[in-house]
Amino acid sequence: MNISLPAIFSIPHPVVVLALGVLREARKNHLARMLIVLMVVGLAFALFVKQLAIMESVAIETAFIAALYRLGSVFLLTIFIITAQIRETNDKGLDLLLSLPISRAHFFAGKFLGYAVCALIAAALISLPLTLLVPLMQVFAWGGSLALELLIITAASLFFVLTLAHSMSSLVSVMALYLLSRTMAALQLMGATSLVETSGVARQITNGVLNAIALLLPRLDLFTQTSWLVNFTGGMADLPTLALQTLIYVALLVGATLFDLYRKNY
Amino acid sequence: MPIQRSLATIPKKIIWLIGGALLLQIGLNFFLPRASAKAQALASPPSLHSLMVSSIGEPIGLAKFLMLNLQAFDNQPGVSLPFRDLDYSRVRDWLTRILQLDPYAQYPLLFASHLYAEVPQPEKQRLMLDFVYQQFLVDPNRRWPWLAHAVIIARHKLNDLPLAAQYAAAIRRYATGTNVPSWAKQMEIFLRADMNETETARVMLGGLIESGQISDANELYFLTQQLRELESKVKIEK
Repeated sequence: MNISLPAIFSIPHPVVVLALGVLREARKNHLARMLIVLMVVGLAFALFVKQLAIMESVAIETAFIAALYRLGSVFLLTIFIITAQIRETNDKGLDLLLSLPISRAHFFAGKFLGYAVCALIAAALISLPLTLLVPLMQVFAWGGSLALELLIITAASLFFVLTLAHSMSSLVSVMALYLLSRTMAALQLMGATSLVETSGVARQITNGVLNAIALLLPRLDLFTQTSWLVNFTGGMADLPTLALQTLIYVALLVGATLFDLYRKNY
Repeated sequence: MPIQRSLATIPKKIIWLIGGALLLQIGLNFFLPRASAKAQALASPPSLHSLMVSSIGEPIGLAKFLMLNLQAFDNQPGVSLPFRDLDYSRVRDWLTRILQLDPYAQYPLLFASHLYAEVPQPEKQRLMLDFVYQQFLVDPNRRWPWLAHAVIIARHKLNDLPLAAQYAAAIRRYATGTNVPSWAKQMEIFLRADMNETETARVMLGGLIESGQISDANELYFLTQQLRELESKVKIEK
């Protein structure tokens, strides 16, 4: 199959068709409805927690909502992408699509574009309730960062589901990547100051392995920080760096997915 | 049909994309700000009512979790806080809440008497010892070991004999269960002797022997010897 890479980024007709197919799938899977349920549950839970607080009630409410929305949206999007792709594979839809006169790169670009639009809609939707509690610019920054984070999750979900072709292992892999990326900075800090006395060599090896793994992970600890909403530390000024991290990591995942996609025999 | 197609089928630009993105990812990690360790101050605990609601009917489970959280507070990621830097009034409030959630727990009292009370800051030591004393009064027959340790700290670390004697007296007076060993009940006598209150010590020891609470022959012999020594001291003083 003769493919030129820039074709991935130009959007020919098949790519748009595939992306629209993904959006139809999102509608059939009630993704928006699930996001609204998450929003309502989050608001109700935060309201309950607010009643318990004796001070800083708005900050506590905001922190609960932000943490729940961030984790919830990542989880919902991951589940949606993985189940939709597994269903397509089981229904032989993937085989059918690849038998059509479109390249594998176009196939992937269409899918990624569709899921990326879902991610952006999810980030916009989920940020809306926060505008009731926090200044608009801080919500923009938080929502923008969430959108970038969801784009990385989209690329990771597609990578794992197309590579592993198994719902359970794909879900576990995405969640492991996500949690490890978010906690790696803290793990590195803990490694730097050991709680238990260990020999120098053992500690150096452990820290070396940790640091090596950290190089291959996105710095999700810098993304979508609740402190932007509660303490107003950071915000729009952080977005360019996060966008650069997203661009590089999504490119890496896209490259890895295309590598596997081109090697697979369907 | 082979499971995978040849590597030659992969467009070179994809290989370049992976290689380039990987290098940029590694490079970006050196450019991005490193996570820095910041010690967080220990916050005040929520009210007991709030904690009970938050425990969702598992107050003991929550108490165990909170105790481990408090225990690990001095070791935050990248920061190792000395115990002496902790806000002890907040530590005491947390320990109180944990005991309110799980009154049978001994862990908070062990931490208070053996760990938090060992810092070389007398005012913080006194605060922890007072906490142990107050909690002992709630359930003397179960919590006496921690107050017995508080007696030792007051006597040897704080060199505050009256305080040690006050705690020892509380053990004698309130820890009356059969599970409480006689040495714990006798601590006050020897502290009084150390305080040169030999007459008081003699009366207390004599009363203890006469009460018939001492059943062990060796112990009885030892205490009788002690009583004789005290009596001779009292005579000399007179």
